[in-house]
Amino acid sequence: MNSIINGLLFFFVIIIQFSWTKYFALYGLAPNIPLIALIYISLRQGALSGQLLGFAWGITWDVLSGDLFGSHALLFTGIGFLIGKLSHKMDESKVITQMVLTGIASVVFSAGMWCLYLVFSPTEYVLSWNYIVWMQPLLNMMVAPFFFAAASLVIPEQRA
Amino acid sequence: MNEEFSSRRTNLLFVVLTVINLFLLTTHLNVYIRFAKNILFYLLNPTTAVAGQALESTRNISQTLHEVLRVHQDNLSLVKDLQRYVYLDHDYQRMKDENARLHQLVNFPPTKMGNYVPARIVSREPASWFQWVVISKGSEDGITIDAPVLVWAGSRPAVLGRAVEIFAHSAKVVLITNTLCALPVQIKGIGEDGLLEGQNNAELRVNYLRAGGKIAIGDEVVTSPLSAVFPEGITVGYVRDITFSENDTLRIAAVRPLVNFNRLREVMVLTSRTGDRHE
Repeated sequence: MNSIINGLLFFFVIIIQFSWTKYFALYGLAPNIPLIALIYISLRQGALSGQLLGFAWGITWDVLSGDLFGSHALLFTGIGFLIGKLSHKMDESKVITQMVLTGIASVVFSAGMWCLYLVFSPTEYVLSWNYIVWMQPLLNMMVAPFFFAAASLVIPEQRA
Repeated sequence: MNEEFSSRRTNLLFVVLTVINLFLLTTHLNVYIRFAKNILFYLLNPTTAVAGQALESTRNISQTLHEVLRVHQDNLSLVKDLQRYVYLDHDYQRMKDENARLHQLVNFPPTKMGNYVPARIVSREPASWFQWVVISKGSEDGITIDAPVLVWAGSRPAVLGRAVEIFAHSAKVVLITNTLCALPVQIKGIGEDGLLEGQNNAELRVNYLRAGGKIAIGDEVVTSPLSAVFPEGITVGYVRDITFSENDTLRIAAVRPLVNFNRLREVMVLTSRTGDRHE
């Protein structure tokens, strides 16, 4: 049952991120739904589910985008694993916990991407410090409580 | 024990996945990795494409509904406009008719008829529809008692009645269809005289026609030179039927007036003519 729901969630998140974000993106800025969903699943179901779904979302992102192949998969797998290790060690129902964890994960994700590009990019990579880099973690933090509230209605809490 | 095994399994899996990810990063999309990526792309892309199309179709529904609402609002607005234009068209037709009538009035031949005063019909009682009308000109405009009142019917003047009560700025006209009105007429082309009398309806009657006369249905009835009110030769109407009087010595003609009594708007009142007489 848990696997079926996670499978449906996988596709649902992919559809939102790659098909529908263009309809609610503001000035090119849209929340990182796979990252927020990954944090939620990792906190609720633990490191195993977190890293598996993280790998799946990451590799899918890499396939569907033109980014460095394997970069999203590595970062999402790591974030899923680490946050999964924190599962049930803090009050995940608190909004502040959700926002702080999402903010940290967003910064780690952005910084991780930058590092991976610096190391593995076949061409010289220059990070563009535009408003999206700064606003993305804040937007993720704002959206996370709403996503957690909606997801808790349909996804059961179960440790993998 | 179980939990420890699960944790070890999780950690091991993390290591395996990390190694796979690092391998993918270091290979820089070689031929095999590119092939695998393309396969995955062909598998995953339809999902996002179909989802995008589904949302797009939903947006189309929203747009269509919006357009339907807009069309409905446009329709309401256009219906209002149409009602306004129907009213304006009616107004236009009325003014066009009035213009045509006034144009005919302007073309009225004054040399033959003498001077005339154009006037509007301002009052007409339904109960006395074929008996009286009130016109907008009176003694201040030169109208006198028994002044002939004509209307322009088609391309020529026709007899309507005569002024019987004169006020300063209005006058009461007795119509030729009134039973109180009698007018000497003649059958045009024959020259035979008779006396036209009203019937308080849309038909007239000419009495005292000779039994052996040549009057026929369709003959034109015009004013007689014997009339002290109307100039000679103005059309009154056409013979519709001919009957004999009770003793068969005279004939009676039913006459259809040339004037359309249901379209009376403007009239011409003759104020003077050569050789005025009093009956």
